[in-house]
Amino acid sequence: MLLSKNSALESKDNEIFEVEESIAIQSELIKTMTTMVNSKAYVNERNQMVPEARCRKQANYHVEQNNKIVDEELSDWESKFFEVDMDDLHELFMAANYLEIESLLNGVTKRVGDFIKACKNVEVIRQTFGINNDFAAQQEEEIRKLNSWNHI
Amino acid sequence: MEVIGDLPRELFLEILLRLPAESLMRCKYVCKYWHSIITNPKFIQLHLNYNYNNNVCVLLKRCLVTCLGQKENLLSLVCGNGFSFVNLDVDLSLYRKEPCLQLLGHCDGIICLSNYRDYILLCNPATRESMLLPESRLPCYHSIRSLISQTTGLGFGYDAKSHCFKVVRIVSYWEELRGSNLPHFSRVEVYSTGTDSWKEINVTVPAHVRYSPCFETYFNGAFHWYAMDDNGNEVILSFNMGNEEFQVIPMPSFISKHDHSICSSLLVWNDCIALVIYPERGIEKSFEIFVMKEYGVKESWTNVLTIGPLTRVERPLVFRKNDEILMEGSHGQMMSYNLRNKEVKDLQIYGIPKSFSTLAYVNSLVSVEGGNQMLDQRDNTDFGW
Repeated sequence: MLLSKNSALESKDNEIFEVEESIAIQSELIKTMTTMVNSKAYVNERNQMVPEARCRKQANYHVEQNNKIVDEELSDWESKFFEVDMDDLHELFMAANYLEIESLLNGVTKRVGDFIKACKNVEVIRQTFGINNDFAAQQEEEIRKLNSWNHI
Repeated sequence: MEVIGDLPRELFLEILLRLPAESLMRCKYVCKYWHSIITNPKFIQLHLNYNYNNNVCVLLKRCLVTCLGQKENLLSLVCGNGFSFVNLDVDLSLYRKEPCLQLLGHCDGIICLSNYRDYILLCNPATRESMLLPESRLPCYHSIRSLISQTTGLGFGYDAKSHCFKVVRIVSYWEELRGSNLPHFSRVEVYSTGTDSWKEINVTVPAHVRYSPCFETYFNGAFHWYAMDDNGNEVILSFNMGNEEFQVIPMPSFISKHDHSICSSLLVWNDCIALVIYPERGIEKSFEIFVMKEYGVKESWTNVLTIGPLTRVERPLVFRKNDEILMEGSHGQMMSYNLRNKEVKDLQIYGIPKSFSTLAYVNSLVSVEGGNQMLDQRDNTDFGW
């Protein structure tokens, strides 16, 4: 087995993670940075914006993902990985977006979508995501009338 | 903390795109921001495109016998890994008991149902919006002689130029007493969601529509029927929704005269039309597949493969994901044949024999009234708003 190069990534909280380079470049952002700078080891200055917790999660996600080859195992593992509360999900979302990791983004998007699908009605959606109803009572009534064939 | 609230718009869109229309209909009422996105025609187009690329499934109409011994129509979705199906909760009360209910076609999430006499319905099963078409303009009898009329052909599709859904109807007239095979003449009218009315068009129908199992198909902007020309040859009759013209597409060379013991069905496979030729009767049947590699060109019919012989499989229904074909078995069950490993699977979906009708379907928010100008910009994924 070939010895792969390791990249050192520094997070906002000044913690340094050693990650196999092949995993690190799954993040489009890091990939771009790497090609511009010496690829052996570097301190990613911009990464300083990412808090430690997020970065650790990224590293874990990728290590695990690359270890699991069998599809079933992977999807099982993935569902457990995403079974976190809203706050963590939000962190993952922002991190995946910032670091531009497509597979992570897909996973989080799907999870949030599953949450929405599970909501039985509009009020539950609002409660789950903490959104205020900013429709004026009359507006809401009008919209419902227009779409009267629906069972909301 | 608002998980969704402070997400950048592109990320929020990614979540919404993956939701089925049924959930999006609910999400519309959450707040003004969500409402503005979901009702935006560009979003509707993106959502439709996403589903065309990722979530095409099969819509199935079949008849079942209820415990009271009555026949009822049921619409279901066969999706995902095929064995699971969901019965659509569409309000088909008008049509549930209709014995001759036909699933005419699908386009962009809208389906067309008819009893081939007086009812034609456009419906989006996901948003539950439906619209009954106005009555036909063509008379039931001809003013000069006593002729009887019958709707011999119905087709459904989309006209990208005028951004509306269209239904075409061919009405043929026969002299009452003679009972000869070919009608005296035919008249054609077209309904458009743009005008919400029927309009007769001045065309000659070049071939006479006949019945053949699983043949009628909307493809490449045109609706196709099994037909016979004046010389008794089997042909494919097509009607282009855009320019409202008929065209005759010839069958492969060796099929020239009508052989009653052989059936042909028209399916769509790998973005081409494909003819499946098979014996009408028999416990063991082989299915020959001819693909028209160049649309409209007779010489491009190519015999790509033969399925079988298979036992107790009656007829083909629809191709799924390009490597699987759904078929109807002898006892009213749906089966799937995998083209790669040649496995036949029973999908455990049952109905009255010969009552199965399928089409490839996508979930969408498109309105039955048409008019969404964004629908035609298939390649435009630039969300520059």
